[in-house]
Amino acid sequence: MQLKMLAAAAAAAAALAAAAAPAAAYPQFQLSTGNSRCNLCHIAPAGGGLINGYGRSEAGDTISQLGGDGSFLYGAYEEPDWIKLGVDLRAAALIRDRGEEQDPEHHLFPMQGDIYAYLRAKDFSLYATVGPRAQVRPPRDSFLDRIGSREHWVMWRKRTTGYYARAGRFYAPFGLRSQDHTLYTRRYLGFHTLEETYNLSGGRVENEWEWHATAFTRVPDALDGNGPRHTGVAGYYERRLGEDEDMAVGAQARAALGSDDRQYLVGGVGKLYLDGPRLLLLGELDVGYQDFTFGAAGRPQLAGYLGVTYWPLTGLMLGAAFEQFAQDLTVADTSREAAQLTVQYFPLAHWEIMLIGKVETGSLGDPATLGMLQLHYYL
Amino acid sequence: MAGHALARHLALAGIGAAALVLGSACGEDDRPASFEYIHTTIIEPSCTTSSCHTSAVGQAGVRLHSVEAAYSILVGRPCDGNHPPGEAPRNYVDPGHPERSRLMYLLTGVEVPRAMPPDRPLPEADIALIERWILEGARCN
Repeated sequence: MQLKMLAAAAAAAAALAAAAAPAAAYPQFQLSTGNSRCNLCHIAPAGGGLINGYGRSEAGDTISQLGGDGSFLYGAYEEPDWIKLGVDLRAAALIRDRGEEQDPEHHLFPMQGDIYAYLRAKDFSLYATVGPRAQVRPPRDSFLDRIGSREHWVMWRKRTTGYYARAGRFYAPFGLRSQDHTLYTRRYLGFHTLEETYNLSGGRVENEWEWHATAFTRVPDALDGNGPRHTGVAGYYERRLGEDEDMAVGAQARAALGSDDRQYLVGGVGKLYLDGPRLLLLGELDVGYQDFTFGAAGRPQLAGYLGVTYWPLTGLMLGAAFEQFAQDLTVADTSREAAQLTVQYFPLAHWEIMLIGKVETGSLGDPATLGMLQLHYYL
Repeated sequence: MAGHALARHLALAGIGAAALVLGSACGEDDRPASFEYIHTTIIEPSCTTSSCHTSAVGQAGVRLHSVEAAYSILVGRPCDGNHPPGEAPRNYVDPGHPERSRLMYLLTGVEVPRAMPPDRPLPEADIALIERWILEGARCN
């Protein structure tokens, strides 16, 4: 018995050693599953990360082709009300081609290995994620050097609807909040992987609408901080519309202040699910202005995402998306565009297989292409 | 019913706004070829993200998180006469000579096994700005 437990522990440690990088929300499921708000399935008030009991049942009943028991440990251990646990593992293989001057690049790498814990006592709760940081290219740091906590926060909330207050490390709610950290609206706007900030956040979530307001500051270098060296405020408001709440519009704004620069963003989000053809449209557009404290002229910026998702059958999700990021609208040849095709297959609860094809063009010389296969398992 | 139609139009308008991403900039590049500007607008957003050349990770021993650290490691001499602790200066830039600067080959992907940044290339205008900074002496300004 002890040997079996040791073997299981060793297997879990090996799996984690092989893993790293963040999971966020799948906004495609918000309206298409008939659930109007993200926190119906996720513990976090704005979605993303650990899913709750209802989310786990949806993973089996609604999202996966062949169903299955989405519960933690497949229901072998039933968590008490005051605790929720989870594990996310992702492995990925990618091939990248940057044109004639470069040989294609191949990588097989651990992408994510996060353990989640959520503890609740009455209206207060504690949430933490621990896992190794992903590192695509060698030389790789040791496993222990890569261990960190992307998210850790405390929250006051009476119910999943109503007001809440949250403090700690997480992404400030803003825009679409896709799990794909390479989307330009994440990658270039301060929401790239491992760029979670320290925040003091509050808001209110209702079935028809929600708002979130956040004061944030960058995680210090000594604590594995990444991303723009900014401190500021961000806000997001979303309203669900239509008789079946199959559409939503949102608006967001952010002011981020640093010692070298200041960045201001305003934007909007649109979501529309067409039940007949099983099509979902998602769009985000952000307009920004960055100015500099050292005297250089500021620059207007723009980031956009437009995606369509189609479900030919339960468990299979086909996506196409177009993106653009213009880092300086006043200067030619500084923008980039990308087109992406995605196939996501959810055969059984706990499993996902994702295939991504992406082409990036714009002012980049030869188009850069990317193919990626991801295997995702959660416990 | 009218409310429903209005709501649908609103949602479509929101999605359509994203579709109208025009972003086709057309101005002359009069950006300053100063290192502070290059660090803030190019190096920091493109190189010091994720698990790359941050202070915490320092992939390949290269940390570009601050103006001082980046200048020291790229040009091989300190900005202010003092090397940041723990950083060994490299020589990626030969001031005045972009054709002899390894940084240019890394950015263009010419004659190097792996171009930088490896995930996605820099826009040509950004590479041209860095080339201009090197041509003008690669000063820490």
